[in-house]
Amino acid sequence: MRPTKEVPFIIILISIIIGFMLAVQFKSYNTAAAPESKDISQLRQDLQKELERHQRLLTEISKYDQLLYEYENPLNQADSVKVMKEELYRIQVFAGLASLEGKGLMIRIEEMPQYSGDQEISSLTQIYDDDLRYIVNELFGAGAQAISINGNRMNPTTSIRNVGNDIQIDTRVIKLPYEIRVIGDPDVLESAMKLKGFEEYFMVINKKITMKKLDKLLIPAYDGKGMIRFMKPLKEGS
Amino acid sequence: MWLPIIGLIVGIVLGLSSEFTVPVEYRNYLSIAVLAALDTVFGGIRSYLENIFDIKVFMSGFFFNTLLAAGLAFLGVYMGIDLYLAAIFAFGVRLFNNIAVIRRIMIGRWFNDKSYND
Repeated sequence: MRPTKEVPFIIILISIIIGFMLAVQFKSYNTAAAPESKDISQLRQDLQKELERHQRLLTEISKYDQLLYEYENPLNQADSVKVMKEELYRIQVFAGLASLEGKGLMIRIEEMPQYSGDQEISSLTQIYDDDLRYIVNELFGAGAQAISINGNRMNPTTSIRNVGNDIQIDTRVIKLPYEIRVIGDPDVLESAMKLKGFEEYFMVINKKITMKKLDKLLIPAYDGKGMIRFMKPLKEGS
Repeated sequence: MWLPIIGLIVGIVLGLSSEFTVPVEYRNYLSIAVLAALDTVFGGIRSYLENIFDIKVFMSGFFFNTLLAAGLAFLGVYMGIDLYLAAIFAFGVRLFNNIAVIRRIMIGRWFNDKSYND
């Protein structure tokens, strides 16, 4: 053995290399081999645990979503039911599914008294569906809220048409005298009727039209059955 | 006497503090190399205790054994033979031998009894 000055440095160098290798090996083994050392059942257990955690987190998310929704819509259940009922009633009024009461105009169309005995129905003196449609349209235009003819409520899908010599409203035959009930501002409705010259027009075809302003007028609900077919509502934004 | 321990501590600290890690496919080679290095170190300690320590032999043995072990394992992978087992076996046996000799020498010195040395 030849003791030289380099020996301690070489020994230090080699021990440093060994220490470095040991540390690297230790670290690599610990980081990479840890997951591999588990067997299938252990992995299954871990998976089960993680799935449970996932489920729990999902439940929490939905809980907080619910909470957020409640904060954004500060209605308790009773309130929302009330709101829904109000909305339903509003829609029923619009759709003609609710009986209404209010001030308005009652229009009566009948044969001229002097011709009441006349049995002959002339095509010249007949009231056509066009005439009634025109009246209804003008009344809605004058701000009518609800209209019924001889107890038949006008709803958005109501039809008025001639079938033979009679006029049918939604397949129901109506006969003279016609009684048109309108809810709305009586003065406006009356002046609209007069402005369009309905009195003169019906006089020509031997009909008398009388208008009566009433403070309390009852209009029945649409009594037919509405069926929703062929259509479904689109979602908003789609 | 304290130099190897100081160097070892410095090396371990360096290795742990650095972000250097060995890729998974090379980990086997490193473990074989570590084994060879350990064998050389214990061989060195033994020769030091037996007063036949030579720094040239120690140094060349250290690098040569380390690289040979890793190279043998590498070769074995390509030949389809688990040659690293040979390295593990050889170095393992030598490691135990060396440690056994070191133990005997230390015990002999501790009890001042020369009969343990042979």
